[in-house]
Amino acid sequence: MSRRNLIELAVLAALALFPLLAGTFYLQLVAKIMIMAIFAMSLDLLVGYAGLVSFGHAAFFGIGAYALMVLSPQYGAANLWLSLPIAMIAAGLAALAIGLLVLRCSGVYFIMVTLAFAQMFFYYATGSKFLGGSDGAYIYVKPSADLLGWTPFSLDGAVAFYALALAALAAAYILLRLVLRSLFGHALRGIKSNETRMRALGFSTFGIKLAAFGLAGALAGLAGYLDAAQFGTVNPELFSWQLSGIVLMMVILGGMGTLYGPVLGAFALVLLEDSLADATRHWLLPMGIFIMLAVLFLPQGIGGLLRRAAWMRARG
Amino acid sequence: MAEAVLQVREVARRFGGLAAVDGVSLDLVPGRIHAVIGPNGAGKTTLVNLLSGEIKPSGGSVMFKGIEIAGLPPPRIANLGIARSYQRVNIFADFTASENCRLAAQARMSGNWRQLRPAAGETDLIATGERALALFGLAEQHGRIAGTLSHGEQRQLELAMTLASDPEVLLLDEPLAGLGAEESLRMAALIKTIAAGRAVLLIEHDMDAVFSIADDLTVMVEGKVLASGAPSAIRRDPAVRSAYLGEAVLP
Repeated sequence: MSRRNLIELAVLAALALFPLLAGTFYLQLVAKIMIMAIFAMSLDLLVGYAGLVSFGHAAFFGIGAYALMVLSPQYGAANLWLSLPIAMIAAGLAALAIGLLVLRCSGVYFIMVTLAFAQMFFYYATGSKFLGGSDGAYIYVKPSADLLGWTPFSLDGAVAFYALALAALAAAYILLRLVLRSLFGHALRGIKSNETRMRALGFSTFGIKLAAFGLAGALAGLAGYLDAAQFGTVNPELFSWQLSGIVLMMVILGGMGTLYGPVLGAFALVLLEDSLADATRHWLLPMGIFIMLAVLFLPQGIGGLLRRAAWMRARG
Repeated sequence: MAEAVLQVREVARRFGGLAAVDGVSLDLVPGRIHAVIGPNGAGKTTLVNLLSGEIKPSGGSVMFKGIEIAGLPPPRIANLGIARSYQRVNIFADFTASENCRLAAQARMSGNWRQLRPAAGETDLIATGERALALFGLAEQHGRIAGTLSHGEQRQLELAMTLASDPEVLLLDEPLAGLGAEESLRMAALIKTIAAGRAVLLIEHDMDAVFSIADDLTVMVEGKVLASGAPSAIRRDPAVRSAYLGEAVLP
């Protein structure tokens, strides 16, 4: 077992034991962070590994969230085992369809068209009566884990929901690690490194990027679904460019192309936002300053800082 | 003589009013090195780009074993077994030398689901890559990050990658560029070695190397073929001598 595996297990154990120490408020806070971490990791697959800087990743987060709203009966519960995969598939299919168009662009154009697509969803949700318009809609009852009459757990309790979010985070992390160490994952990194050469070697890079875009969309849909389930509400802000920007910031702040970096970024950004918002009404100002300093002095993000610290310790 | 595996007929490419390649025809035959020489701007690199698919021809035909490949995208052409190297080193600078060659071997692998297997477990792909590295004298550098290799080593890696995909046709665009005299000799000998059983198109400025390893020779000037034939005949061709080579350059 490598040292990274050990650290991963330690973090998993710490997160798993957290409910023994913390009350409802902090459980909900960390569950929210873990959901954002899934969202950020899915974006890291694109930004950090394929070199695709998407500025519209919230589109798929929003689709996952709205899927739960649509699938929930007015005053009843949606079935978790049914609605969760449907939400992920819907987000994944949307990503494949959008990917077919946007992956023909690169660089700044790619940033702009991904943003444009997310904005289309934003305005559609704002204008759609069925989706609740600009106010959004409530999901009154959390999804039920009913399996043919047997209900292994209820998501109403903070601990149960926390456990679900942690399980989803761990599953998404393991899935992405497996993908990245596969031949496919190496081809993806090759595209980021030198796409011309990849094509000259015989790789159909479009198909590889499209597959990654679809997977990233499905995982963003998972995060969006969990977000809607946790807060019991959806609104067009879930599609907004602000959210796309925040998740991009988590990836960059945490360290892109590392997978664990975006998790750290999610923790740092949400905790910072939370504590600053408590301290002052003008919390956006110190937040902005912090992010500028971080980009200036931590070019590799928090993950890069930790790696450098570990390297310095190893050298004595 | 064996039959040509790649037949280029009247291939042309115009950029606006400029005909960079203007009706070039040549044959590539397995086991033979076909060198293309010519002054700067003769259209040699454009010719390679036309054959590898990076530029679409505006006219003419390129037949690979009876299939028309003119205008196909680069991955399709590469997957048929036509590999190229670049005049300027074009490698995966942040990958190890071994990974560079493994990617090259992986490119032509069949089966989409196999792409999901762990890269580290693909011993046959890795072995193919390592063999190509060893042939080019990079066995000991296999774990080095490609961007940290010397220029000469990067040139060797560039060719090793081209070979790792086990192509039938090799398009080599100035493989000796920037190498010292001794390195050039060694590299030329290696090119001769890997040409066994493969058809090679060699663009090169190093006349010593060209005349020592080329089996066929085409001279291009301003996008057109000035002369084509056996190197010994080309060397005596008065048109070639006056147009390009200059008495002094000929070995």
